[in-house]
Amino acid sequence: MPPKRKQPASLTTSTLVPRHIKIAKKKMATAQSKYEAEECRKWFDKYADKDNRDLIGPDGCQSFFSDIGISLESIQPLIIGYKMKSSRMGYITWDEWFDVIKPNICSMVNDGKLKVVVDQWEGSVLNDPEEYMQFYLFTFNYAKTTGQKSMDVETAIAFWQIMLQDKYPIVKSFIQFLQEAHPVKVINKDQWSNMLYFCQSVPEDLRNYDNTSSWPVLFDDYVEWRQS
Amino acid sequence: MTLRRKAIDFDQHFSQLIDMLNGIYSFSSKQQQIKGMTMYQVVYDMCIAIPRPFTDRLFTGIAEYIDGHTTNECKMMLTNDDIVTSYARAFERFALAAEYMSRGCCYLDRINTSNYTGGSRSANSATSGKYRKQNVEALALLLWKNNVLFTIRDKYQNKLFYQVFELIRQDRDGDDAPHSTIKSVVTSLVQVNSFTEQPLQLYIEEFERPYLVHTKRYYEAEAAREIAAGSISGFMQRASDRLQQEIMRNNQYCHSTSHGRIVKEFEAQYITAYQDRIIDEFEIMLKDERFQDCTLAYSLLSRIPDGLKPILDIYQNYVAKLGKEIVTQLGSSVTKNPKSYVDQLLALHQKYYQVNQQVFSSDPLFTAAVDKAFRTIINDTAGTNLPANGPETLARYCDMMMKKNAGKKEPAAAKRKGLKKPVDMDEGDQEERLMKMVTLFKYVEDKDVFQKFYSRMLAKRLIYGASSSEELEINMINRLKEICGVEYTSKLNKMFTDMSLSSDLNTKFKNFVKEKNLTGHVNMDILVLTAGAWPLNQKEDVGPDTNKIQIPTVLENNISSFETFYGNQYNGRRLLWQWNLTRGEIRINHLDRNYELQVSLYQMLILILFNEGTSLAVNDIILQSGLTEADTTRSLKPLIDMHILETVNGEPLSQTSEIKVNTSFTSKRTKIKVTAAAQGDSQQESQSARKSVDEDRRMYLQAAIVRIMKSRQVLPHVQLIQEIFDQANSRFSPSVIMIKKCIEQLLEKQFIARQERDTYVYVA
Repeated sequence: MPPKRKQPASLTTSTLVPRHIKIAKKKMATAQSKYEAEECRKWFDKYADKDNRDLIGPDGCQSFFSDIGISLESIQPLIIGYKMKSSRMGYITWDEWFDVIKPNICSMVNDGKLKVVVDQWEGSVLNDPEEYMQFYLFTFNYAKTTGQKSMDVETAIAFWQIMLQDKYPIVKSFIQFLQEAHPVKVINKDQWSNMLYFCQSVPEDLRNYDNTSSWPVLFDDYVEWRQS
Repeated sequence: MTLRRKAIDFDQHFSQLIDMLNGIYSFSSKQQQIKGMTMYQVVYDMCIAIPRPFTDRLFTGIAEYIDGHTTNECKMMLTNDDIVTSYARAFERFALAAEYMSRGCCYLDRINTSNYTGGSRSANSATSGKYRKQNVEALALLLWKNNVLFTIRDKYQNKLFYQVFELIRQDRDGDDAPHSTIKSVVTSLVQVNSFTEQPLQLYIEEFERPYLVHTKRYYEAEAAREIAAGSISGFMQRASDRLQQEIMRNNQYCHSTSHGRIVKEFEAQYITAYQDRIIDEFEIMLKDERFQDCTLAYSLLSRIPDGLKPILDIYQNYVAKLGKEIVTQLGSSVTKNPKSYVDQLLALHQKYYQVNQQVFSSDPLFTAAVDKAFRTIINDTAGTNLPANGPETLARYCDMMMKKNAGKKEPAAAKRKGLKKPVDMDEGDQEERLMKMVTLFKYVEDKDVFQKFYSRMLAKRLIYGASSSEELEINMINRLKEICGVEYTSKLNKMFTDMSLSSDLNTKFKNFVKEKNLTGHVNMDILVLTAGAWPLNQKEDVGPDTNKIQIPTVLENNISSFETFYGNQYNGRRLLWQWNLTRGEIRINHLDRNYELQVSLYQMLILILFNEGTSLAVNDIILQSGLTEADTTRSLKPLIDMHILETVNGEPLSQTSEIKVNTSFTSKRTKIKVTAAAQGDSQQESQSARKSVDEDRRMYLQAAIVRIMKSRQVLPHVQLIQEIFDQANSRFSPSVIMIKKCIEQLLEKQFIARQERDTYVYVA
């Protein structure tokens, strides 16, 4: 994972570390690593599930997010999930936690600091189209109920509101279409992934929508609904 | 006569020549005896004179002579009022004379033209004074052009052609005009230019262009008058006549190269300008069956580019409208009486094929229009008349034709409605009708729907032995095979095979029973039907309800011994009994006469229960027979309607009713056929058929997609859709939405995946 051992470092005071100190640091690595792991565990334990100490459950997540000052209504919990490569929304396993938190632990022991990092993550994900696509596709598996192939339409709407609506005005009427015409009960993966592309390539007035193209039927229906 | 060069006196020789030329050009009789040889000699002598040949002087002299002559001619002409005639005469003579002269001067020509074509000399040296050296005939014509044609054109207000056009106008107006004179004036334009590189140029500039303008003006005005004058039909007649005349006129006046252009100009003024009016009226012509007008409209509009398209559309829509009217009028009676649907549409079809032949000279475009119209009629699902669904109705029609009492049933229906005359239908007639029906069948797009209904009805005919003739059936299937291919009819054929196998099997089974000396067997025929080939409702044979049915003990022996027998014959095959299709005969003994009832197995079950007692509650019947409630009431209903059984006090049938045997039942016949179950659910039946068609289609499409993707691996969306259309077309025309849905399902099932926008890839 490319992120970003350097970044948190730049946050702290030691922006410029002389070369010999860096080398010295390497030698200390194991010791420091041990310390980091301990800190990591401590923090994790604060939220971990009573029955399963290697898992943070929905309640734990909620208090974790509120502790670090992240709104559940925002996109940031998703960003964290994405960065942790979390498999299931509302749950964080120890491994997922460890991989992401440990490299940053120095800068994060203080609860408030994590928010700054997350803000940075958000910026980098949202501004890189390639990364954003990854993030968007990740969200489908992350947010849908485990074991189901598709996502409930209500869930999909909620996530689109968080993820797409501000950026793409067309989403609003699309959601209206889903709510008023009830064309589907679930959103499948294909429809989900096409949604982003649809937002990116079709303007609000639908002027370049090509119904002979391979859009899923749901989008054809939407365009028809708009035109009637 | 001598060929040797000698010194000569030019003037003397030349004046001799001038005399001769005078003779030639004036056609004067006293000089008739000018001999070509003499003239040739004179010219020859001058051309090879010693010490220097007089070639140049001679040429210039001749040129000057013709120059003078033509100028004179022109003046002479202009003294006449009728320039056209005098010009024509003068030119004819002049052209002839020029030809004569050129024969006499051919030695001079040879020198001049060989110099000319020698090419080494520059153009200047080929010029002798003001005249360019050339063939003397060409020179003469050139001088004529300059001195006569151009002079009249430039200095005398183009009087000549003014008069020519005036004459042509008179001709068009119907007055006499001197055709041949005009013709020679016009052709003179080509003739005088015949030695130049573009012989037609002068003609085009001087005649054709203005002529086109005149034509345009003339017909523009006339067409406007005609159209204002009244009926379109008159107008078209006029246009058609005019067109013929104009073509004639072309032959009379014009060079063949202009025919096309002039006719085109005519068409533009007379047809193109008013095609909308003709088109507007076309539907009314059709409606009033003014077929002569239709022919006129057709022949006129076919002359202009894209002229036929609008009337083709009108024609197609008109025929389609007629067809739809027929269908709408029939209303929901279609389901019961498909015959009038087929008959009326066939009549319509025949009529307009005849119209095509007689009115539109069998133009394939019009045939195609009728075909398209019928396609919309037959495949109209948008609902002018929903029950009158083309493929379904056609299948019903076939059923009706091939049922045993096709002839009898109809008069019965007719009698009921108080109509007269039963229509007898023998086999040949049916055969012919079915053959004609195929005409309509060809228009069916959803051939799979037809197939579904046809096979269901065929199954019924076969199972209940209601088919009137096997030959008829086989012929029909062969016809379908011809149109749709072997695959289309394979299941139908399989059904026939099953029938003949079953009849063998029954004989064998009877022998088996005899041999083994099995007792307690009632007479029984069994049909073994291949699962999958027969369109039977699968749900009914696997449902848990069927297992509960209490098979009458009298039948149990038969069934078990048949199962043993069949097991011996074919190892490993499983028999599933289709009780719901079984029928049997049962005899009633308690009445004055012994009635025989033909009933379904379910009804038999119920009736046998009454051997034990004369009265039973419906609930008890359900319990004892093991039938479902729905089947029970459905089977009871006809029995009660026929008064074999009754409810207490005649109350309507319900679950709590008490049913008893009607002891005072009478009937004129001793053999009574009881309808199996209420027939009323034909609507439901056709719905379920439709549903299964839909299901089949989805399967078909998905299979097609996988097949295509497997062979192509990667394919763009549009191409995939196209290929599916191509493959499915012979069975039905799939909607794009349906295809897309199938694609989405396969994406979901991960048979295929999206590669980029609009491209799919096969996932192995």
